[in-house]
Amino acid sequence: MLTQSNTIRDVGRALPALVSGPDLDVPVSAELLDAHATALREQYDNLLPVIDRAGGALSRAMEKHDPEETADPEGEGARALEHTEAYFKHRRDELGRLRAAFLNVGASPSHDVFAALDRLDNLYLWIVATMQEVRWSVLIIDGVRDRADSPARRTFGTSSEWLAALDAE
Amino acid sequence: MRSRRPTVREFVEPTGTFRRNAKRLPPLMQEELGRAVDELLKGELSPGRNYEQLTNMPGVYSVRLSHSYRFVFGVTDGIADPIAVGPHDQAYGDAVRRYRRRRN
Repeated sequence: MLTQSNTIRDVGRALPALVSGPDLDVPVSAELLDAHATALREQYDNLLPVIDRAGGALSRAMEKHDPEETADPEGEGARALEHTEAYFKHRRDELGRLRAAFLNVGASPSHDVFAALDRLDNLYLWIVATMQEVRWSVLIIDGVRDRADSPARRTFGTSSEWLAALDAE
Repeated sequence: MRSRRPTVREFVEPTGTFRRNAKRLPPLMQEELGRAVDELLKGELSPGRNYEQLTNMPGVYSVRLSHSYRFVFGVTDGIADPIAVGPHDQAYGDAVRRYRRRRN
């Protein structure tokens, strides 16, 4: 059955929904730097086990995947993973703005808030990198399988002929 | 050791899965895909295409369409067969490689 491909699709879809807060649009103030550091640490601590389990689920799905089956029947898994990557890239951009805001209110570069922010940023980076790697594994598995399933195809010696074939239904 | 980059004489007709992925590309990247195929067939790749074999995948190669998109294909006896195309941010790929190097 398609259990493994469903896992890939579902984990990809679920991750952004599971990650809520902290609200990175909150006003930044020098008096609240410790509170910001705590919120960022909590975000990391809450997210890490979710990511760990999601990564484990994806890893098991890829290991158990039967090469005879499609890893992504309708392309939904790859799309879900791509959206997750975009979501966490956006979150990294928000962390970058938060870092600038901390500096603007006079936070010392040695304040804990920056270490907490860097740790969370590294986790987001790791999520994007991992999702990208899984998505490309899925694309390549299905591309190779599809190729093997379609042995008798035309060949073209020019890019214009090949592009015409790409556009053909 | 990195394997030699094979010459491409012809491209095989795309499969349904590849067509589906290619149609999701932004128009600029669809044009770039055509340009990369043209360059591969002429043996005149633009700088930065980074034509290379994928790690642990003999006969499977990739070229960059841009910093954020890549095109993967197999090559056998000069015949290239498209496998996948889509977004691939080099910076995040490098992050995975750096992490693995640190672990090993």
